[in-house]
Amino acid sequence: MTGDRGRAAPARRRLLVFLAVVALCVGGTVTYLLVQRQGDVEAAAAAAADEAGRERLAVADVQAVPHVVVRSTEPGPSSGSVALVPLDDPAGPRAVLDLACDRVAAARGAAVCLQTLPGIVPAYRAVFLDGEYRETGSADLPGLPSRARVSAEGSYAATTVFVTGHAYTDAQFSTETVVTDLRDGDPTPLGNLESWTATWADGTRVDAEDRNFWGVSFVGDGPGFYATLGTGGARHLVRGDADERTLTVVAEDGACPSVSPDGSTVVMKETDPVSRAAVLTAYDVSTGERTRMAEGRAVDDQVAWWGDRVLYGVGSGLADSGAADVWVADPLGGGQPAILVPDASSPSVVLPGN
Amino acid sequence: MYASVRDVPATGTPGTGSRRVGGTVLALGTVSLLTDVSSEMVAAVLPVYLTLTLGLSPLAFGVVDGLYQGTSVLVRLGAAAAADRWRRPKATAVLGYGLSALCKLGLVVASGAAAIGAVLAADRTGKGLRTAPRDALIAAASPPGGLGRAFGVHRAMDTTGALLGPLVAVALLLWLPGDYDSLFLVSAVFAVLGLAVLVTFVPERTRVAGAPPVRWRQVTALLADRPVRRVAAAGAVLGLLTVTDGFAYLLLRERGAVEAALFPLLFVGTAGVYLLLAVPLGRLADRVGRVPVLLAGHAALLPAYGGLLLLPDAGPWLVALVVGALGVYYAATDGVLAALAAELSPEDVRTSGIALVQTAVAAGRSASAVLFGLLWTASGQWPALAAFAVALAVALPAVRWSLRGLQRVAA
Repeated sequence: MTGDRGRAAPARRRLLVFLAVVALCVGGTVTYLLVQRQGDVEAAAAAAADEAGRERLAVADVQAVPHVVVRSTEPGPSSGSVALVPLDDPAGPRAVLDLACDRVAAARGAAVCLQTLPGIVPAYRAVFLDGEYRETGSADLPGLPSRARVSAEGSYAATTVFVTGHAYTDAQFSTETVVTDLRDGDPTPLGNLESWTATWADGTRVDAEDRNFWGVSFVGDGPGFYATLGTGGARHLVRGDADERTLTVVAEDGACPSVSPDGSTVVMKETDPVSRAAVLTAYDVSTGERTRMAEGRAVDDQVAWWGDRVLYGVGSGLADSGAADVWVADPLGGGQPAILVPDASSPSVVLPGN
Repeated sequence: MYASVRDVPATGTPGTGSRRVGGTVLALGTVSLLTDVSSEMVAAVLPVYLTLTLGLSPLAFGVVDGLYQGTSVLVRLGAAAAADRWRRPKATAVLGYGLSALCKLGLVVASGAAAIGAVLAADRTGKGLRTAPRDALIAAASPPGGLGRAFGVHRAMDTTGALLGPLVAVALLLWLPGDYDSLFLVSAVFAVLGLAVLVTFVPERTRVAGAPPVRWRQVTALLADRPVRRVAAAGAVLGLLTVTDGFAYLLLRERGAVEAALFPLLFVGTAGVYLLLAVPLGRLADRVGRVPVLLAGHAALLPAYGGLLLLPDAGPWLVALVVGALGVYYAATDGVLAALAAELSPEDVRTSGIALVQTAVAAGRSASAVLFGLLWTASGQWPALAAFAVALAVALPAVRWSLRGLQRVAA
């Protein structure tokens, strides 16, 4: 471009337009962000005031009766903390622990809590707890918490996380599932399921490099369990043994299983042939028969059993608000699901011992 | 920084040229810096946003991300040809940067996998539209002997933006927890600022009145243009035999050299080395020739592959070796290859020439990822990496031979 004087005036005008655009963009954005921040601060203050007015139960009182352990999403400073809700009044007051988790699972005698430790590079951690929610050990996790489970009497725990590479390079996604032995009070990892011996139903080894395991559900107190094997775009139901460190494919098209207390039924996600969406279905372990549940929503959860019914968390309100409710449904008897515990997610039912 | 709106390219300055790059190059560097802040702040949070708040499975996200690579290639070549045909590289670049800015706003309103997928596809399309025209503008604003330095400066600024983006995202989310809409809005504002710098401070290449229009035939004739074809073929072969970053990082993790939680730091380290070396290696390419620097950049990967193969327990030293080699590789190849393509292409169809070479490299790298994945699955990671290392070592002299005589044009 040549710099003759005829172009000087338009150049100056363009510079002014540029400066106006920059001032408008920067000023507008900063103002908007300050307003948002102010809104956040006020909302937090209002939620804190709300929470101060709520009735809370004593932890020991709730532990003495059948209760559901959840991640409470009630707005307020305690949002994200573990809460205990009595099953005879699930929408009523709750007991709240000073323990923040992304995922929590509990049983008689033990609990596991998956946490995010914020920072420039966020860190993730599994905290193992005894029946009184005292820490017995912890383990660093290599990615975003996804699923957590403990066996019925607290002998084993399982954790699943998403391992993410950086999206800038290649979108590398996989899961990592670890089973931990809690029996002697000192949590001992039994290793990543990918390092265990996995076989197809016909006895041949599962050796695909893209194999992923997630969503462990213990049969009773273990060491038997169900889990998901993902490979080649398909999801298979596997049966595993934590002491033998073996896994065997038992059914096609089943993800995120949860086995009933009597071991007869597995509620898992299967792929709808038309919409390709994952839908909840009840799988009869002895006959292989499947009964589709009356749940039309996408459920990003592994269900928890309560007698012959199941509980699961479903997001409520705006997609990114983090709010959720725990719903209850009868997997075999049909009927519409209903809200059991409002403002909660990640449920597990704990029935105190005699 | 971009005081000189009227940028007069110093033509015919051989060798080292002047010590400073033109205002247009700095303006384009600023555009890329702002745009990379915009796109990397989104890329840094996207996996978390999609999986935690939208409940999309990460595997579905991988599919969404990979699905549009093919369309991106067609868009890139088509846009470059159109930019040459109507002599409007700047207008094409504005379209590309504008589309990406719109997409950031689209993320605020989009919800659900399909909508997000569409927005990300459009964002990629924008990137496909703008890259080659932008590089053609850099080439047009730089003296032939200073192309390496000009591209080095541009790539260093670009990488600075890529490093700042995730930091901006983290800071914003600490201040406004969970407020992804505000984050997308800030990202859109960075993109708009980049667009404003482009529109205001980068001149469209003006043509002498009466110059004959560029014909489509001239564009398609590029495919028969021997120097361009040779560079494209060399780029494709070298791209094919280079293990992609994702796999290199994964190999480090397999050796227990780095925890998965620290994965993003591998990218930061690579980008840091790239940032530091982009200008020095660009200048070196101006002095000793582009081809030797290009090949040396690839050769720098060989020690890293050797380390991964033979020193699996070297821990932090292995990380430093691999990250350093990848940084050197990018600094010695990305901008240098663009400079090589720019100077070898006939001036009328320079955008298409650059696009052709960049597409060939991208195709080679995509094929490399598939091939490496297949080899890894079939025979394990050690044989796969060994095969790539040997093939690259053998290919380098062959490529050197195939590119002989190109220096005549460069000097």
